[in-house]
Amino acid sequence: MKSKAPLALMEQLVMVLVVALAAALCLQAFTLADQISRRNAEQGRALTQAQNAVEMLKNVHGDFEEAARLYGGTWNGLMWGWSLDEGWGIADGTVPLAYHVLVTPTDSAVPLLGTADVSVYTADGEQLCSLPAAWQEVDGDA
Amino acid sequence: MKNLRQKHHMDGLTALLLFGVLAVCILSVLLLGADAYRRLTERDQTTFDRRTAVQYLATKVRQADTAGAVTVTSFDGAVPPGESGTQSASGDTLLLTENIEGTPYCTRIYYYDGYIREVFGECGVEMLPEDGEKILEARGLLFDWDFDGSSAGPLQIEFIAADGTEERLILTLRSGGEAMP
Repeated sequence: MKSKAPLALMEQLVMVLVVALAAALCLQAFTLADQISRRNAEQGRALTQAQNAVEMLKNVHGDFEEAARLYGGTWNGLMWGWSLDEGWGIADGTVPLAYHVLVTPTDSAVPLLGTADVSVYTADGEQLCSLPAAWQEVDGDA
Repeated sequence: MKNLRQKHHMDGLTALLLFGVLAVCILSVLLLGADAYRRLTERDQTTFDRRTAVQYLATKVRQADTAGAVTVTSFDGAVPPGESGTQSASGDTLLLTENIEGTPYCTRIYYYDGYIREVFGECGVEMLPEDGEKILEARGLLFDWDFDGSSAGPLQIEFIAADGTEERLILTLRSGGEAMP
């Protein structure tokens, strides 16, 4: 009588291969889901940072220097920016930088209406979010 | 005959080994999947809580943003004394006042016993922190508002999420300096 062992072995081998393929697909899906979840968390926090910058600009009527003094970061005459660490705290230079917020004034073409663009980037330069800011400027002649 | 028996024995062992590999493979994928799912749900929950807390606070302030209606205080209503030169209010409670048919009603938003809470009632009526409705699980909530005589600074809200991470929220009141306590 001929043994059925080789057949059973082949069956199991095919089963292992199928499961290995399914496992590889599952791992790929897990990694993708993890990336999306991480990205969503980052975008949520980036949005709060951008909203804070917009609110601060409204509060100081577009005085970038005053905004930088109150909130943090630096204003170089062209843009207001600050860097954040992995935990979204304003970086003090002792920890690796993970995110950057840049606020760039834009031309609204409307008198007494100040506008700016607030963007948040990862350390790799990938944009997480962008928000337009608008505020009423103080009329110096008034 | 002996050789044939040995061969059968080896075949059986190989099949058993393959079955073991299969079992380990399936178990590993299941464990990895369970771990990934746990991490994702935890992170998504934290993100949702944080975002909801920020939007809830911002919406509440925006709704009540009329002259004198937004105040930072302590739960019992005692406003901390201002600093000399400039005034400053720091506290654990956001007090939002509104008039309903001539009667002032107060909404207090504060942190107590692991939750952000909200309590609504007629102003002046004594309330306890545990009376508030639980809104969101958190570890802390603090309000800070600086202003001088002419204009109000931004209302700063420090929110500590349930996982211990901090979120800072800045709000500029449209009612401006007149909405000072």
